[in-house]
Amino acid sequence: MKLDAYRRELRGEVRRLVHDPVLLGIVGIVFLLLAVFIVFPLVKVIQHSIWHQGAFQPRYFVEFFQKTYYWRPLINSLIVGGLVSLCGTIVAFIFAYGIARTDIPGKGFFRLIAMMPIVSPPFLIALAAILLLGNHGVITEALKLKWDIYGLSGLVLTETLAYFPIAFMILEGVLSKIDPSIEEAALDMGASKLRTFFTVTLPLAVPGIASAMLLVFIRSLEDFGNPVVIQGRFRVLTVAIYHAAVGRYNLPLGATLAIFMLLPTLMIFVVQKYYVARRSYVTVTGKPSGIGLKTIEKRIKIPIFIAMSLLAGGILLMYGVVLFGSFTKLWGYDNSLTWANYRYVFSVGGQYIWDTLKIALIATPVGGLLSIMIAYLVVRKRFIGRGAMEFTSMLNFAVPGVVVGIGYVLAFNTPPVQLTGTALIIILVFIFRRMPVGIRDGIAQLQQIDPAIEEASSSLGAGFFRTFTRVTLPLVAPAFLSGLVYIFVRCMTAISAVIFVVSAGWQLLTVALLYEVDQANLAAAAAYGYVIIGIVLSAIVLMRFVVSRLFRGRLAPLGGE
Amino acid sequence: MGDVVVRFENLVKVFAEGTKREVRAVDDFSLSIDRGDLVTLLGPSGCGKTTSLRILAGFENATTGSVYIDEQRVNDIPPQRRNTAMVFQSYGLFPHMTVLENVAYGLKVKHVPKRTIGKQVTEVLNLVGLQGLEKRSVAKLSGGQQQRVALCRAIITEPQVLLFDEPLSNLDAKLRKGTREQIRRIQQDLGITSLYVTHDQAEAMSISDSIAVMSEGKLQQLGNAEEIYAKPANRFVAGFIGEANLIPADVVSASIGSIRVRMLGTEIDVLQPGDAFAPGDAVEVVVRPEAVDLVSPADGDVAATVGFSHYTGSIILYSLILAERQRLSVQVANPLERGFLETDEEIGLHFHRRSLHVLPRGSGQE
Amino acid sequence: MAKGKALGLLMLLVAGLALSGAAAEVLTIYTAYDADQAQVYIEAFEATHPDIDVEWVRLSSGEVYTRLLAEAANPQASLWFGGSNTSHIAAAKAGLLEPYKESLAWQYISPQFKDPDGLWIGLYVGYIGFVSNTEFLAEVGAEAPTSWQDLLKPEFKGEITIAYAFASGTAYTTLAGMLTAIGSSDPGFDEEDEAYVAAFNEQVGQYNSSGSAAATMVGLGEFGVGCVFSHDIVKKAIAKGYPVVMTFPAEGTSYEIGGMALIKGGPQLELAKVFYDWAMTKEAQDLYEQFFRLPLNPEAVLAEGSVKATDVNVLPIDLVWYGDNKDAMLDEWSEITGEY
Repeated sequence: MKLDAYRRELRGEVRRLVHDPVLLGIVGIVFLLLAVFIVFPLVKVIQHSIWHQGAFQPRYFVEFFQKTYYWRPLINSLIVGGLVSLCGTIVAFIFAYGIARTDIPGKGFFRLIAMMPIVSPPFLIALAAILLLGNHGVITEALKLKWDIYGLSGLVLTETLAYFPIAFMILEGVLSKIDPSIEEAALDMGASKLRTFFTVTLPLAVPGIASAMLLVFIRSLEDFGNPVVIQGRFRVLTVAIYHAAVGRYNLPLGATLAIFMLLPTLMIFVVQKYYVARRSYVTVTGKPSGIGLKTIEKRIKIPIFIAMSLLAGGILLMYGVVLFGSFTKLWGYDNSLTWANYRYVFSVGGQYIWDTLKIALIATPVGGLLSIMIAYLVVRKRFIGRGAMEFTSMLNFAVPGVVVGIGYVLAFNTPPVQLTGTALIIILVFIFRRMPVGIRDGIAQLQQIDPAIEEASSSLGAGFFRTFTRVTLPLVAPAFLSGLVYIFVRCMTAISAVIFVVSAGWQLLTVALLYEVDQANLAAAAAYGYVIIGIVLSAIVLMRFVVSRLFRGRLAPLGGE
Repeated sequence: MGDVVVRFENLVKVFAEGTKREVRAVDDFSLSIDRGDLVTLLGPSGCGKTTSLRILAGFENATTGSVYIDEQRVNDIPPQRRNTAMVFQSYGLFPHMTVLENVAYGLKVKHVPKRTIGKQVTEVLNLVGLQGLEKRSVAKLSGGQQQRVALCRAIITEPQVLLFDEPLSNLDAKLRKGTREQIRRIQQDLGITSLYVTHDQAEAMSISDSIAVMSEGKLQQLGNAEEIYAKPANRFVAGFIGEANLIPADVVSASIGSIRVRMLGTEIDVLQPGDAFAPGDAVEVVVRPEAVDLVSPADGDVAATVGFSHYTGSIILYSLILAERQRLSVQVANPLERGFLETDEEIGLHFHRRSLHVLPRGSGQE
Repeated sequence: MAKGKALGLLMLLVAGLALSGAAAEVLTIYTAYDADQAQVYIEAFEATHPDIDVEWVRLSSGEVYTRLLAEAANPQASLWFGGSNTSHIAAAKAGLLEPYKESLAWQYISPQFKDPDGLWIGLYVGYIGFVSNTEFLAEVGAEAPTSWQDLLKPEFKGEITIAYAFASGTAYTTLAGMLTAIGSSDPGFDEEDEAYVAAFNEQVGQYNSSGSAAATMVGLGEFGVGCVFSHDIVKKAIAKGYPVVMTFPAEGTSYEIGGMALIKGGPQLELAKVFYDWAMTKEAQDLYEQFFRLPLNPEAVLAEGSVKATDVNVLPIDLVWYGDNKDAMLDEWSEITGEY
């Protein structure tokens, strides 16, 4: 009986799609794009891991379990991931609690610090770690430390600082949305603040904490830039994949390793999305209440404030030392100040700056529009295969950058779609790599709009295109434009996928930065880092200005209240 | 009456909640709407009225059954290509546009030339008393004004069917009455076929040409206001529209013009066609609270004692206790003039013969 | 509405600008020279050939080889400029290079510095040396290494830095030297070689992708000892004034021939030949003086302080064999070191 109704519903959907050619066209194009640029590369990776030179040959799968040096990187990556997710979540929780639940001073400052790692290339922190704590680092020398930063400790330190902002954003949201009356009820019944925290607040925050830990875990697993700089002999899987594919052109090995990288990230993604995310206990009205219980006891506030200050100080120190390093002549040996490094970046790297900007400026609007279009289709329209579209476009959330990179090399190196050496392939990597975030944000933005508004447009005769451009887009425009900045920032700071597809014609700033680090030209690397930061900050400020100008005081929510 | 503009034919809508539960929102619903009529779907929340409306608009799809507009089957046609226009509960105005831009939207879609648009917009705004507000941003209007803009926006496109989804629910009570009269007036003047959805029976009864009472996805009764009130088809309609006392009774005899029933220990002749009834049938009698006069115990059909009372100013509602613990609500108008009864006071009831209505017993929902 | 159109136009404009490019004659090359050196050479070429615009990518020689493998169906570059010729030999064996015997330089280069079929030619010669940080040596109370065996000393554990053998010509040349110096001098791994390489692997603190980076890192004091080409040690550490000392293994050291080759199927082979010819001229090779490389053009100037063949013991390494068998050698190296 149910199957019958389902089948009838399906046939109905197909018929309706045929009757709405514009929608049909757009759905078709989107599916085609997703198939070619997300699914096809993954298929190629799977294919190359088990099919080599025309025969079924899962050689490396077998060898993977036999040879220590094949599976060791996977274990290492998991170890690092576990530690980073733990430490990162703890750090993030301290910040989130301090900002959301106490009345400490300087919240704006702390929030800024917590977001700093997002606007810079993540592996800049590894560079800073070397400058400060390397064998010849500032702190190492000053305190005569015997600590070897290369290896597990360096990885955990740098990745924790690089990725705790992600956990912070989730936890801040969770902690500020807990309905204050729940906690007030507990206090009313005689529970102490501490007891309330452990029996009410913390359990309510658990799904958020779990989400945060899982997401940081994934980001740590797929980190490429930091390990390349600081892993030492503690090899992780992302770098191993890169070396196999680009270093040795052993694509079957690279593909096999990529599969082993994909399995844990996919699993974690599925767990997070379908298990943890569903169990959110806090009221998610989209409106942060902000008026939670503020902890004002000194014995809690003060340690938190001290911890936050220390962490913030550490982060500032890291960015500061890199800034300083970018002005030194010969880092560590001759610290006289000079503009030489920046001159170097703008001369040798001038073409890279131009290339990177060109590519980012194309990928950003195209990616943004595509994302919001897909978000719109997924949220507002019903058509056959909608679930598949949503799932596929979100897939890249779970797929590590290096896997995408090797997938694109495998997929687009040969006809029918031959894109190596072009700017297009880099643009495509950027667009489809960043799409899940854009779609998720787009969905959130669209859900703020009363569906009646778009239905009214349809009711008055407007088709998909007109409704989308005249009604939907203008309403989400401020959030959409702000979201574009985020895409741009990720384009400017990306490394793990694009390093596979750069070529003679098109080079990127992040790749140039890594090269300088590899050459131990730390001062030049630092200069590159700050050029990137400068561009990103300019873009953010510019967009803020544009948005506030264009949308001055408009768009208060209407009706239904 | 004229030709049929809208036809629902055995409409069924099933919502599947995940893979487990199924909800039958609309269950074998059939209805015809004649040209120029305003038909209201009336019922409690969850009865299927809004779903049916949205299926007609094209925002929901029928599971089985057909919808016809002017005898053309529209099931597979997307909403923008049906000749309908909807007025939404939350108005659905475009917040980033002015009044003029909102109202003109549908005309722009049809590529009507600019000059004509201007004239038509002014005309339609005049109809609702919003002339001169063309340049105002809709965000700056009051709720009532917004609702009227939404109405203008819909009617300016001259749709074949005008759809109303509880348009007055978000308005203050005071505004509702005036606005609904305005809607009805305009609808009649322009002669636009309309389908109206509401849960407010007073609203439905005051503006509709006919009312379809719905419950749990099914059509309970179709009729005009008087038919529904005076001759409810079943218990549900009787209880939903106005207040009703349902008294169990037995048929003593039935003739063409009247039915003699035995209820509350006495025999009453109800003035209602009796061809559907036979002696001995178990029935229920619908007694409206205003269909009873309170007289001295000797003059009444039955005797009762006063239980408690609710005084609301213009009327007083007494809960009376009768034999065999039967209770009855009776409404008395203008108690200030007539006087107030005391609790436990003995009183007599006289039933208005023409106002009673006999239902077969067990006539639950269809 | 107008704003939306304006925005759309703006985006189109940006896209248009981005995709437009000047249509000059463009030559694409891969170079294994460090970026700052490559810039000098290439700018010198462009100065004397203003009608040719060179686009170049810097990759270590092993990486160039794999890039050519990856692009075999659709080569993106036309010339391979610099890098240890063991990679060139491996590429020649894989059929990735284009023969060019017609250049003038072909005449005066002696046979040991060119491919008999004209698939590659030698630009310069370099010798592997050890670079040690003097402050580090003082701290641990050790002498700079003067033999391959010295590298295994316990004081150097975790303090050695060198590039990945598969990525860098420097490292592969060093490996070839190790295999020749240790055990029997027959090419390839014998038992003693395996033991040595395994022990050496334990001494390494960090592997890099770029061969010359070790010189800088040792100069900075990040690591204590590195194995790098002498011209890089001089240029990147000694000439910069870092506290380092350069030594050579007494048993004999490894050497490289820096090579150049045309890429088979490259899109701009005629332009590549222009560059090729230029790179062998005295003017071009004089540029090596500032980087302490030893030019193979007999008329070019030799730098003061550059290490010449007479300054060191050179091992009898069969470079051709090592070039031909690079893949197999790297596989074995990966097995032993666990790095790939």
